[in-house]
This record gives sequence, C-alpha cells and structure tokens, in this order.
Amino acid sequence: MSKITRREFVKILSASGTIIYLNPNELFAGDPEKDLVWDKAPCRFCGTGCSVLVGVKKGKIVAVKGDPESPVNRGTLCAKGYSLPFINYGKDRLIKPLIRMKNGKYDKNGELKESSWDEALDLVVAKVKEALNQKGPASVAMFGSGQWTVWEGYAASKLWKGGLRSNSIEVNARHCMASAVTGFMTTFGMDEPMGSYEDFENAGAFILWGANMAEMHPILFSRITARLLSDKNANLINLTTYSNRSSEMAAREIIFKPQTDLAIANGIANLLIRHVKISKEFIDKFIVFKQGRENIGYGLEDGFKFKDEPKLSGFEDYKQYVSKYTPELVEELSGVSRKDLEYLAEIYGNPEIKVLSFWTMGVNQHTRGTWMNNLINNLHLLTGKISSPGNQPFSLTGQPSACGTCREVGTFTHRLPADMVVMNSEHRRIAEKIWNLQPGTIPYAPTYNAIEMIRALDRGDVKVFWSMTTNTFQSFPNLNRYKKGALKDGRFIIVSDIYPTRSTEIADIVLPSALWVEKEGAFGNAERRTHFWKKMIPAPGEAKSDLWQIIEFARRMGFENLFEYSSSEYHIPEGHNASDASLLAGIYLEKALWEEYRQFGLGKGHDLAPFEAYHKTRGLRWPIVDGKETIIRYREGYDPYVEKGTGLQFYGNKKDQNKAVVWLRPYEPPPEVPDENYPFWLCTGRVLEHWHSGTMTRRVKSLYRAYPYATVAMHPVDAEKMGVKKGDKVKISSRRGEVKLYVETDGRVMPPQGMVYVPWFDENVMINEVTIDAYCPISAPSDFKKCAVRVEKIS
Amino acid sequence: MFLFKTKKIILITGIVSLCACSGAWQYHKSGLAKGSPGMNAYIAAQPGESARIERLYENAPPMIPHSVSGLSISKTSNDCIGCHEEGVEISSGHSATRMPGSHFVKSGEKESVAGIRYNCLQCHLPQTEVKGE
Repeated sequence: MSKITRREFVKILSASGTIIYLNPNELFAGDPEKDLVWDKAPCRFCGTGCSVLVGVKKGKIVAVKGDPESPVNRGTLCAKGYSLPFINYGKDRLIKPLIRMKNGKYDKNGELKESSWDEALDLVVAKVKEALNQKGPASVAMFGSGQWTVWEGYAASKLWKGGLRSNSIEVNARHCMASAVTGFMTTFGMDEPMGSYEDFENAGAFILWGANMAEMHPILFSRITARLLSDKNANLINLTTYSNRSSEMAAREIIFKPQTDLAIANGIANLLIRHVKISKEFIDKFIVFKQGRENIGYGLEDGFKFKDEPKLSGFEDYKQYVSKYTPELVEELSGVSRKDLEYLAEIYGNPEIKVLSFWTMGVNQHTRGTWMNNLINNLHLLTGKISSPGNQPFSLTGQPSACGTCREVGTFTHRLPADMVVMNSEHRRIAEKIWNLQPGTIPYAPTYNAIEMIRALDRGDVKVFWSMTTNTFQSFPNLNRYKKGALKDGRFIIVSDIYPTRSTEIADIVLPSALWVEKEGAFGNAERRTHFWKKMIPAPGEAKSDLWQIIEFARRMGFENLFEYSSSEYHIPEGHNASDASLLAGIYLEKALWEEYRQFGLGKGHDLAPFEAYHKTRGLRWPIVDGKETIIRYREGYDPYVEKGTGLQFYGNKKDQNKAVVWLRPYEPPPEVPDENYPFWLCTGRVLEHWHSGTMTRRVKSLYRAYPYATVAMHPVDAEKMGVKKGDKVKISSRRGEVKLYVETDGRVMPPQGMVYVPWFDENVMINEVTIDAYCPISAPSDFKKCAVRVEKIS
Repeated sequence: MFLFKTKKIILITGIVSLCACSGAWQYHKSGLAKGSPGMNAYIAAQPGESARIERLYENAPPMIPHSVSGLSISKTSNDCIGCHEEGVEISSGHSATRMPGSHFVKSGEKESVAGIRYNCLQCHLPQTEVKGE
C-alpha cells in the first residue's frame, strides 16, 4: 500500500462492508491533513496483529488511527495502540552506544560512557573472538525476541548457525509460546493454529483456558464481545485461577487451583467418553493415540535434559487412562465442581455448539505446558470440532512476531526455518544449500534453551550474552541468581535497546536501537498473518536498527559473504526510504533476506508470498499458494495442501498417515506448592495498560498515569487475617528473593483466598526475583504462574 | 523517574522535540533513575465533578477524569453508555463527552453501539492522581 490520502481514507471507511460508520469525517476534525502523511504498520505491541495508520508530520509520528481496512481490528485499537505516537519519544531514549569504562578503558566495574559505534563494535568483536578462542562457538549467545522483525531474526539465525557455527541463539518467546509450539508439533506435526480470526464470528462458545483476553488481547476480546452481543446463544466461559475482567462478559467463571487444568481437561475427556459425546467416526478416520514418558521433572537443575519416548496407544487404553479422572477426583484436585465439569463437557460435546478454545500464558508458562496444549487439542479431536469455521483449538501469542519471527524463522537453539531442526541431517542440508554453505557447517547439536543459556552464563560456559529487543534482566525468573551470574568477571553482556532498563543496568555495552517505523519491518501474528511496514521516520541520534547491528557485526567478524546478494535483483528502488541496513548493504536488504528466507517453506505448507505482495495488503496468512492465503488449514476446500476427497488431512503428521495424535497425559503436581513457611500461591502476568517490562508503555503519559505502579492483589479475607488493608505495604518473599509493594484488595484482579497476583511491568517491583525457574521439560518455558510465597506486613 | 514534567506532549498543532540530543543526560552506572513502588490512587471525583483531561493528540481517545468505581460493563448492561451515548448534562456546565459516530453502527434505520466498541475501558482509561513524575 502506498500513502493514504485523506480522501482515499474516507472512501475506505465508507466502503468498509456492511457496517456503516456514521460521520467518518469526524475522525479528521480540525485540519490535520495539512502536511500529514499516513501509512500503515502493524502495532508494535501484542501478537494480535492490529493494523494502524501512522500519521507522520515533518519526520515525527503525531497520530495513529485504527486501520479501517484491517481485517484484524476493523478500525479500532486498544489503549496501548493509541499510545504508539509516544513510544519513540521518551526523554531518555538511547541515542549513542555506551561502554562501561574506568580510567578511559573498558572495565566491568566502570560506568557507562558514550562511545562511537566503531569503538563499541570493536569491543564486541574482540570479546566474541576471545570467547570463540577460549570456549568455542557455544559460548557466544544471542538472545532475541518476538519483537524482532522477521528479517532481524532471520539474519541473526543465519549468522549464528551458519556463520559463527553456534546454536546458542534463543528468544524470549521460549518463555512465552514454546509450549504451544511443542503442543502443535506433537499433536499435528506442524506448528501454529489451523484457524484464523474469521472463526470468531462463527463460534458459539469461547472457552478461555487461563487467558485474560479482556486485558491481554483487548481487540480480540472485543470481537468476541461483538459476537456475544449479537447472538444471545453465544457464550464465553472463563476458566481461570483468579477472577479477572474477562469474567465480565462470561456466562460462567470457573476458578481452579494452579496446575490442575491437566486434571480438568482429562476430566472433560472422561465425561465426553462416558456420555458418548465423542465422534467415533472422526476418531477412526483421523486420529492415532500416543503415550509419552511420565514423572518427567521440572528443569530445576543445571544441565537438565529430557527426551520424550512416545509409544503408540489406542482408544481403549485411552478410555481406561482418562477414566480415573472422575468428577470426584477432578473436584478434589482442582476445586471445580461436578456441575461445572459437566457444563464444560456439554459444551465440548454438543454437536450443535461450535467451540473455540483460547490459551496463552496460563497454559504455556506451565511446568506441564506441552501436556496441557496436547490435552486441549485432545478435546477438539475427540469431538471432531477442529479445522472448521468456528471450531478450533486456538493459541494466542503475546508478542507481535512471536509467530512470524521466532516460530516461523526458528530462532531457537534447535530450530531452523519452516519447522525444521538442526538435529535432522536432511534439514541441515536444506539450510546449508539455501545459505550456500559448505555441507557440515551448521552444528547438529542444540546448546542451551533460554533458562539453560542464562545458567550457562552464570557458570561461565557462556561468555558473551547479547540481549536484543528484550529486557532479559527484568523478565527472567529467579533473577537474583542470574543477575549475579551476569555481573561475574569474564562475562560480557551486550544489550541492544531503546531506553535504559534493568538490563542496560547490568550491561557491559549498550547499543542504541531503532524502533518500529524507524526501520522497515515485518511481523507475523497469531493467525499466521505476516504484515509489512515501511520506514517512515529517521531513528534519533546514532540509534541503529537491530538488522544494521547484526549485519555490521557480521561484516566485522568476516561473515559479510552471508549477506551478499545480487545488486541487480535487489537494487534499492528510486524514491524508496531505505533502512540503515539497506544503505549499509547497498541493496534492498529486507527484500533479499525475505526472498531467500521464503525458499525454506515453499511447497512444504509454509509458503510465503513474494516480498512485494505484503506491502500491498494488510498482511497475508500462510500457506499462500497461487496468490491465495489460507484461513483454515487441514480442511479440504480451504487448504490447498489437502488431497481431494480426503475431507481433512493433518498432513504435518505424514509418519502417522496424516492423522493427528490424541495424547495420554496425566495430571502431575507442580514442583513447589504453598506450605507452612510460604503459604500463598504467587501468579504473575500483565495488565492492559502496560506491555511486558513497561520499557515503552511506562514512558507514555496516559498509560503511566492509568497504572503507575505494580501492586499485589489479595483476597480481602486473607488481608484481614493478616491485619493488612488496601494501601498497606507488604513484603512478598519466596525461597529465591523478595519484593516490597502495596496491597490492593478491590482491583480488577481478585485472586481466591490463598493466592496473590503481581504484574511484572514495574521495574521498581522486581517480582521475577521471587519467581521460580522451573520449566516444562519438553518445551522449556518458565512457569511464571505459580510458586509459593510468604506475605508479611511492613510496619 | 518519569518523563512528563515538561508537559512537552506532541500535538498535531505544535510539535516539540523530546529527543534528548543535548547530551546533558548522564548515564549512571544504574542506567535508571531511582524509583520506588507506589499505590495506584485513582481520581476520586464523581462524573460531572471534574474537568476533561486534554487528549494526547487530535482524535486520541479521551481518558476518564472521574471515578469508575461501582460502574460495570457486562453482557447485559453498560453503565458508561447511559451518559456518554448522547453526552447528557450531568451537572451544571458539565456534559458527558459524547460518543462519536465511529462508535455506532446502523443496520437499516436502527443505530446502535458497535459491539467492537462496547468494552469502553480497553481504550478509555481511568487515571490516577500521579502526574507522571
């Protein structure tokens, strides 16, 4: 899409389908048209993938609008989206590289001093070479995020795996949706949801499994709300460990004890079988049963390793297996009544009701996250409510490109693009061919998942740790240990960011990054939609895009050949506002990287469209075959990969005759439960107003003023028992650390008795010094949702 | 620690530079100015008792200058719409901000609040007394 003039914009508005928005001109009251240029971009924040129109005047963002042409957000935005004009302009924006110095030279105990890019990158290169010589490639670690653009993640992955020959690349998405990946991979043999947001308007029941969508995915929640208001038979059920804003629209709120979602899902399956609500025909045609290892540990020890050993099972065994999850046992474990369990089973089992199950961090940040993903998928498979309009298991994502970059590019220690893995020699061969590398270049062994990586830094096995587009030292659990580790001698911490954070505080070197529309980018959202934007404004001072930083680092390391492309094919077009990375490379680098990257997925169910197609649309959902996007996968008539006459094919699971897997997975308790010394559950998470660690949103006046401080939500009865009232200061401590903060007893989050809730956005309440670094042995995301704490009044 | 004491908010009509280009800002070892935990104390004024909060930019959603305590939005009722749909006068000289046309849909002759705009608090946020410093 090119720039949108006001006239075109109004035309788009009035032509936007059956809904007629009254008086569209009021959106442009006053005279904003003067000198204002509008262009489209995906929102910088969550994984919903809203499109915004960005209004730029004299090189500055001055306004945004919800994009009326966007099929995702349909002209609306949430409060964070409307705050976008301010995120680039905080007073303390990082605009020069900083090196920790003492007496004029680098010193780990020095203070951060301004430097040139040359000095900064010379030091980075020297430290990387030193680590390579002393400890080998695995000791040089890159830690990125789902906020990397697709080509940033791709370039970093290519440089690490194909250049440095190190698999020590991970992303914060490990903490976020890794369980959804392993859930989809083990059930369907292919990652990411099969459905899309069109399913919202076709569903009759929306079941939230530990996902407070009203705050974390407000635009999607509003689409559900619109559906609930237009059809009185449509219902939302909020299955949650604490009462929250999503319950306001719910037909029923069902509170369960942490970790017992495993028992609930198996209990529903048991009732579905007992009441013959399952689809025997569907099961016979499309399903195999499997069982993996049990009693699998929690990843609490350094060097923890786990490998599942799936065995084929069958329906009768499965029936027997789930039969022990009687309503009585489920109630005993979870606190969910038989009535509520029957209600859930009725919704999943009634063939007249189309069901969407949603989940995000509640299910994914879970010591049995993969199992829980499998168990939700099971319910849709047993009932055949899958891959049809309004019937899907639907994992949501928290970051704008957790899917597009982390999952699809595969920026994890074990992954390569298009669901391939380094452990597979054929996959390595394919990658080496596309990357034009000598066979055997890519190392075959994964090194560290996120938690193991930061443990390796503490131990000294990782020497260089580069944190990019993420606030590592606020967002990891059990931070006291890992902060100390990073501060040890011989550890070199590079932080690329836009503002000072708890991570720059620890960094040996800080590199100032360009943000959002200061560069050209691509994000991929939760419904497989990839959405591009163009560079609209210059970056401030000497800030450089993360892509520039990766390419320039590669050049200085002698890996410039990895990023050399045909200058005739990828020349920078006349009038194009080229990014710093393109100018450095002398070609249209984003396009060159994209065209190379998409070769990985073509013909394999991961087909992405040619580069130019994305600038003309509000995103496209893969697989894109013959120019057509796919809104529902695995279903004949929707998905071009499904063979004619089969109706449905889970073609990711070729080894299982294109069938999906129903898994036998048990309930197992969490590693730490409340006891006499630490009597409360602690759950952490976000709030609507702030995004992640608040680096951007806490610098926006309206958002800061709306939620300046992290407080602890407590049940009033618990507070009273302790002699604490709203506004009192308390100390929350665990076996790992403590924070001090104020008590809230009537806020929007109301935990049940015995639980407290603390959001993690506030850098003055470092709740991750309290949380536990336990993880799912299969997917390895940390469990930020449950550990045991003590609450004490501070007089 | 926060950044708003200068009140240099970017407005369509008056752009001011917020970029800290002067180099005056010192990078301390901490990298962060000192802050401390706090309690969120929301504006207690009742509807009709307070002045509107200046919008961040033209057509930005207005923030809520009054208490929302006790008001609810549910599937069956929405306490905001009562006053804001028509922009009724709450007290002398104080009218509720009227919902703009973009928030309504018309099907046939009937106009109603768009379902996708029903969760008012997703855009319009109650504000605390904190000034941002």
